[in-house]
Amino acid sequence: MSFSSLTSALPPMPWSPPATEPQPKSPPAAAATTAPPPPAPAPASTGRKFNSPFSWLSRSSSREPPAVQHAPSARRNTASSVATMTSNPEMMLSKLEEDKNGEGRDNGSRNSLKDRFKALRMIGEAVPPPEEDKAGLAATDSGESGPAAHPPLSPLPQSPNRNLAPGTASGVTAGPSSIVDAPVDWDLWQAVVNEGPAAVARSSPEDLNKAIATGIPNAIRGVIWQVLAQSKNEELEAVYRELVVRGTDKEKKKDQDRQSSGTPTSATVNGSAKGSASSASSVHSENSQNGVPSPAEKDTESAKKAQAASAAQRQKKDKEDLVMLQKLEKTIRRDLGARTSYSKFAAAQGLQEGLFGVCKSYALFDEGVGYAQGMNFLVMPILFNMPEEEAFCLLVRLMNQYHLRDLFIQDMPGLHLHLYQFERLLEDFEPALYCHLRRRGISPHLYATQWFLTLFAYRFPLQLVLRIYDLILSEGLSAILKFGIVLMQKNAAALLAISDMSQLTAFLKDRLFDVYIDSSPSSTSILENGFFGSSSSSIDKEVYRADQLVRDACEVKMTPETLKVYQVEWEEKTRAEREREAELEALRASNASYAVRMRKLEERLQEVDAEQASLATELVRTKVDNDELRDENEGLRIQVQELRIVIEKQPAEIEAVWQLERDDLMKRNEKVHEENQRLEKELSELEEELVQTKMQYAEVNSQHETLTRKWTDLKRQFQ
Amino acid sequence: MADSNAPKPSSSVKLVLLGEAAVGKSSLVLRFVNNDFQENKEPTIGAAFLTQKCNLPTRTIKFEIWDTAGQERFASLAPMYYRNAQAALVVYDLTKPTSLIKAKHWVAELQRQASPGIVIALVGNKLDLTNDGTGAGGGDAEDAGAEDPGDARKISTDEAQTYAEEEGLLFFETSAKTGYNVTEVFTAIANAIPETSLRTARGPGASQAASRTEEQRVNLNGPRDPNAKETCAC
Repeated sequence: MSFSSLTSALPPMPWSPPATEPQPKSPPAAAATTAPPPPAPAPASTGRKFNSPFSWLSRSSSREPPAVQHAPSARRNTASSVATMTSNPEMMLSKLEEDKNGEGRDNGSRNSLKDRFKALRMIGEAVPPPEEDKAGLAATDSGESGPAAHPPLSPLPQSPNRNLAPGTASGVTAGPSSIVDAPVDWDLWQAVVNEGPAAVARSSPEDLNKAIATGIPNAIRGVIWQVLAQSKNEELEAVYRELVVRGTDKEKKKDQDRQSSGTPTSATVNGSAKGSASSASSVHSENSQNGVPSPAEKDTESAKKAQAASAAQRQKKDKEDLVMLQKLEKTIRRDLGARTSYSKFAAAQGLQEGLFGVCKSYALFDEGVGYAQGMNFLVMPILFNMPEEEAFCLLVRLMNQYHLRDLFIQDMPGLHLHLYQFERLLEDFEPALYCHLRRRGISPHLYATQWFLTLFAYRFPLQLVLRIYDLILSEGLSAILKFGIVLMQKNAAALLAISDMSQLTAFLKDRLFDVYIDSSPSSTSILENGFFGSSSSSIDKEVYRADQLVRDACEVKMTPETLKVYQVEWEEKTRAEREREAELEALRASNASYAVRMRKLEERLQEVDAEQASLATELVRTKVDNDELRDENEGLRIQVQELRIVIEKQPAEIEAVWQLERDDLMKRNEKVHEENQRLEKELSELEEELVQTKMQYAEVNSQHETLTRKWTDLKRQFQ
Repeated sequence: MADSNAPKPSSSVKLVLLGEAAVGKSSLVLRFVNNDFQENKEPTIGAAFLTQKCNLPTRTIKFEIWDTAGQERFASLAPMYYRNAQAALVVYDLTKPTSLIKAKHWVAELQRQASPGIVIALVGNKLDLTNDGTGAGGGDAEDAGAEDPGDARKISTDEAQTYAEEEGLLFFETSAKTGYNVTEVFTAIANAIPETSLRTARGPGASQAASRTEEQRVNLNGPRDPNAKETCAC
């Protein structure tokens, strides 16, 4: 189709706006500015949609009106359109623009995005009819900037890679490579912006899916991302501006300003900033949902009160905070520069400060997460597409509504869950590969951790990462699982052929995307590749079939139910594990107490043993004694028996002896008796004798007397 | 390297690197494995796996090196890497006192949780930033910036050595940047691994059976034997 050649000639148009940024801060930065411009979302190309030629017609016809409007509306929305254009390193500029925008806060976040989209669409659609475009361009230029915009225009279309200094011209024409096959469905994107992704998803889900699968045009990627995530939130941006300067001189200045002027805006900012420091982030996420500055008044009052009451206290706390802050800043800084992905892109250099700001602000904003390595990687692709305030809002949104936060909080439960889901899905989809890896001890923890923590931004080519972000933002984090599975499927044969563990891990970490290398890239896809400037690393020199990747990923049949089932499984598993651990802990504790008890019992046992031993010896001794005693007893018993015999014999003997003695005695008695009788006889004889004697004596005596008287008579006679 | 003419017994050793963020774990590995050094190496997300052989007079040791992410946040991933490890390299930064405290925590955790016979080496890295460094001065841009360019040392050799002796650790001061002492660390570890804990490469049948039983126990050790097999092949 000649049409395509025509349109491919046009892409330079969108170029002009970016070039309108007048201040080239540094050469590389300036080069970078050119990079993210609204590329050639040229409704170009050989229609992949041959089936709907009429849509072509209608689109081309519908293209007219906006083109006509182009100039005026561009003027009307200068500020916002420029702001979008500056989704690039010129942070100062974009900041200025944002400040301007901030005044019109009432419009609501959606509106500003809408305006921006309108402008972008106009630029994008205005491309085809060259004449009109030039007019439009001129208008824009005259309105905002110098002629710097033009030079790169002419050479580009024909041979995109002819004069391509890396990071400069090549970026210009780079649109989503999808434009090769399909026209950009501006109406659909418009509907997404105006009605919200949910509404579009309801009314025409297939179209939306297809549109996202074919890539969001680079020009409006930043806007669409924010719409998809519903992240635009002025309030939060103010919080960001507050947080990002914390601990710097700027903050002090701001403080002073605030104290002197006390404008409501700054007070609001102050209030919400404080809230962010102390209160849970959920409050903010709610705010971000509403996008309404309703709490502003309250905040103002409380802020004033707090200011008055605790100024001194705060100063003290500030000092402590400052030390923490410096530590934090040092940690973040260490991971910047060459240590972030895509740092080799020219455009990335100017973004380092923005990256630092976003990381630091988020760390301050969400104390439960703080700064975790990995954030720096995942923020970079966002910063390529929008100014840092908006990147911050999108990050907050990703963390909370997309539950990315669960992956970063202490112990990383979300990460473990997703890894488990991935492992189970891998088992379902590629059982052979699953076994192959498992047998070699390569768990997804080893290679897929970085996918989840950095949304593939750690090592993989930016062209693909941006497309992955598209899908993640529209579908949620489960898109990572899809991409993971697709990559494993496509590489299954290669992986199965490798059996060395280190080669396997190296392949899994660095070469999974190689299957999507486009060996014969079309010119548009080459341009796409160079979108952010070439990098010296080899992976970004290749051109990838990003559409194919996204299409494949979308085709992965992965129902929320399965995921839910796996989630439940995981929860059960962790619960079981936790229970087991608790049980183990309890067992360990009881074990310890049992051990103590056992030791005590052992001691007692020892005592008892000793006691028993002594008892045993005693027993032995007793037994010995016993035996002795028994022997003795036996002896005694024999003795007794003998004695008894003796005793039994004795009475007879005694009787006999006694008899003998008695007989003897009787005999003796008889003798004595006889003697006695004899003696009595003798006695009687003697008595007789005595009587005789006495009678004799009496006779004698009487004789004597007769004789005496005779004598006496005789005597007298004589006388 | 692999083709030693006399077939020496070869065995695999699982080695894990632990330590605070940005002390130079990945750089040490890079120096040991590729003899290379990169300024401003990107932080490790998750973990990295590399292998390198170490030739000893009597045998060949094939190190399976698990390089972990240092940030506190990633600590919950560490157990699955040091599980069944036979050796650990606990790295600290000579110029950063907090990194030694963290290293001590790791040593305590390893002694409590890791396999009982694990050989632990305490390594103070970034010697090039101190006066002892072979290429003193210059230094690692990331940390040396604010410090005295001459000697940024904050942890004396004595302090760390005493601690290492108390805990029975191997101790080295290295510089991944200059390469000083790096190979020595790994050689010392290889020598310190007790012969009994080494599993030499066996026939395919045996190794497969071994790995299968290990798989049933769900540990990360499974691959050791298949890998050992490859060692034979090359």
